[in-house]
Amino acid sequence: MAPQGENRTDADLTGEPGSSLHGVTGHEVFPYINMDTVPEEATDLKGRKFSLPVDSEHKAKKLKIYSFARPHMLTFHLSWISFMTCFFSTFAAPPLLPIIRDNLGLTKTNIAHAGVASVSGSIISRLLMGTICDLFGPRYGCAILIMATAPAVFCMSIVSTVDGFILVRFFISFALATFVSCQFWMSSMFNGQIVGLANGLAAGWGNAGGGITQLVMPLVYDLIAKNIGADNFTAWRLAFFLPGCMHIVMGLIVLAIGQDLPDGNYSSLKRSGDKVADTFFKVLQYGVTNYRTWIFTITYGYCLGVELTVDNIIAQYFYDRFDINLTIAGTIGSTVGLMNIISRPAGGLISDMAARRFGMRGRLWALWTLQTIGGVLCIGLGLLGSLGPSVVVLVIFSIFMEAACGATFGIIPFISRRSLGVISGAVGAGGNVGSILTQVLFFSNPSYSMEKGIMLMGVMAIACTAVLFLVYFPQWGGMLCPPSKATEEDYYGGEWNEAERAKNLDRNSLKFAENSRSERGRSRQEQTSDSAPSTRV
Amino acid sequence: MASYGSALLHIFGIGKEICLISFKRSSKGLKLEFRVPWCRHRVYSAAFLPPPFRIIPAKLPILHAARRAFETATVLLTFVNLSSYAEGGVLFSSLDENLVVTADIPGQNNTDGPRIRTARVGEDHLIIKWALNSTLSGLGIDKIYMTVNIRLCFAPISQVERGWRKTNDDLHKDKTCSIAIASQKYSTDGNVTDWIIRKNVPGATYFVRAYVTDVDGMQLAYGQTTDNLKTSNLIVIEPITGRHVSIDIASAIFSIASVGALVGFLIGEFRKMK
Repeated sequence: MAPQGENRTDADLTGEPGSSLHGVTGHEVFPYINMDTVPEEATDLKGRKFSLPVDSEHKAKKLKIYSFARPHMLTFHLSWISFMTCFFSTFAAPPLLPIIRDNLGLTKTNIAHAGVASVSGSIISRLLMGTICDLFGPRYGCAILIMATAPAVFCMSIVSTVDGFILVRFFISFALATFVSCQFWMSSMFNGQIVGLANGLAAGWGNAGGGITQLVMPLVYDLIAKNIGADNFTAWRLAFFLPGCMHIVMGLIVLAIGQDLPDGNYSSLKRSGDKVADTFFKVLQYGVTNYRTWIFTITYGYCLGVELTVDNIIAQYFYDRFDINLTIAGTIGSTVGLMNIISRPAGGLISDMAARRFGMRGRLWALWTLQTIGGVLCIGLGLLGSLGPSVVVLVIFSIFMEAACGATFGIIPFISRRSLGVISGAVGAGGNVGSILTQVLFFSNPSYSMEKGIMLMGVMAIACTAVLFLVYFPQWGGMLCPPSKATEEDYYGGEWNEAERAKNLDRNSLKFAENSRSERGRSRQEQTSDSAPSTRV
Repeated sequence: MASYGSALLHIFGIGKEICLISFKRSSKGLKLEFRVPWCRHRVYSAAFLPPPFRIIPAKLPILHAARRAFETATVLLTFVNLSSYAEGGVLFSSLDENLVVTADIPGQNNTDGPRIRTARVGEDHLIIKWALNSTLSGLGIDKIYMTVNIRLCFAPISQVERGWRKTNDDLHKDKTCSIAIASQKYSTDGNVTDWIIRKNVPGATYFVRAYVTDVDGMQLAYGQTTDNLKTSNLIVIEPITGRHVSIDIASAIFSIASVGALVGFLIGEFRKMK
């Protein structure tokens, strides 16, 4: 068995590709973690005491939400607030669109293009952020991104043409890559057993920024237009100074008091051994050739994608269809994003509970059920013609869709151990691609009314979720097919070729395979408890 | 909006049971019910239409769970019921063009024939004259005319690909004439209004329309400055951009501050590391 210390150093500090989003749920395994609890008076490498119980890697084993203690809980709050800030600024324009469209003379096609632009920038940035976090640390990744996109937010105050508006929304959307740094940071700070909850809470509360902005921006606009008395075409421009300043403030705070690891920052920790355990191209190959990556890209595209699309269009939809004022339309629109606070972690929990009983098959069925119900409710939303029922259906629909997002990331860590970072980045980017597709197909055509677009979006969500039936894990089965005689070692070990196995490079994958036996579900767990353990060590 | 407000509060669970107001249909018409939190089993009701109001405290011993279910159902029904009360409006095609409306821009040469004039927001005025069509005077058509609403309406060219300005024959749903200019009492001799174009008017092509309404606000007739196809005699209004030099400068300063602070921090940390 390879020495524990060597494994730990490899994976954590030398930027092993494929580890970027490790530990996205509680079932993610760190084979090199010693699960023994270090006593409460544990100190970090510099002798400072930890306020939470930690494991041998100094990752916290408990989550105390009301605490801001360094380094774990402070990191938790820093990362979800900075992610929330980025969502806030990306979706700050939609609630003010009724004013902006009059100021800039936008047509429906222009607005749709701007909506597409607002989710396309993050495709590239999410894919890159994983590597940046591996190499430079999540603190730099997050802070650099936030402060570099602040100028784009300020530019929104000075746009006067259609193209300018679209370009600015494109550049602001680069900020959404803080999702990756947020999840990576959580995984570095929290032990594998609670990292799922930490990640789900941070992602959910961050996503809620899309809802908070729909509440806050119309209020800020009202304040400036009525109380300060600016012209309305000037007031919305002034309102954009709020997200811009939030960017600067959060960036500075993260730089000043954030830290990459429980023991300190990457740059100030000694790195022992600089060998990269894997090559970028191999990791990319195994991520790309695994068909499950693409299935989940499609389904996440119609889960997060639908949520992002709704963030973009819903305030306008209510304002135009039901003739209510801007602030109330924004309030209704905000409920979609705000539901994230509970529904995304709830989705992760539902997935975990299903897995405890039924294993991976339970996770797949849970995801399919949540997302399909979300799609049905979306169709209903498009068909309803009155305000009250529309609001009710909107709220319930957002709960189900966001729970599906949380449930998706309960399955992603199991698709591959070697290429986890690439797959997570691809799936995250797929969410944005789904949003773009939806907005181009259904919301940029002037001959489609918005309610028809929403209905068709629901139909497409149901259709794209159906591809989940094609997912099959040989060791755990698929939705309709039982498992074969293959084992977890065969699946995860199969990502390494003979030469690599000879060098024992696959040791982490095999440990992960052993620990992932929990995905067999309760009935098969009892059968396998006395089966022979893996012969490879 | 009070009923929507407290019912909404109840649904979202915020400030539960502040006061649940609900409407119920009964043989006498609409019934208004109040539930107040300090008196759980008491339901106050008022027969609502028409006056006089009566508030009848009624003791209704209801089981807690049943009451909950009842309240939720009532609230949901409230929305459904209320929405079904939305009346259709007057149809535009049923109105006659009984008024003659003209809009002039002082300082511009008024020549006959189809033309498009330009006006600037905040600077130019529109002088709008309306009067009953001279062929109809003395016929008593205007006995029930009460108010004249003058509005600025989007010409078809400004409605292209903009569903939020769409023309609908049902005047309740019509969005063509969303900018109000003035509202005046009707008089047989007509009236003249001098309106300075407000700064929040968007840049587009417009015409002016005046609706005559009766005492209940129902439209009875109209008059407009353009023809039936809405292509002649239009006014192009040039808007403000909303930009100011001070905003541009502030934007630039904040952006530079952001990037500068970032670079400064990174350089500082790099130096410390060395």
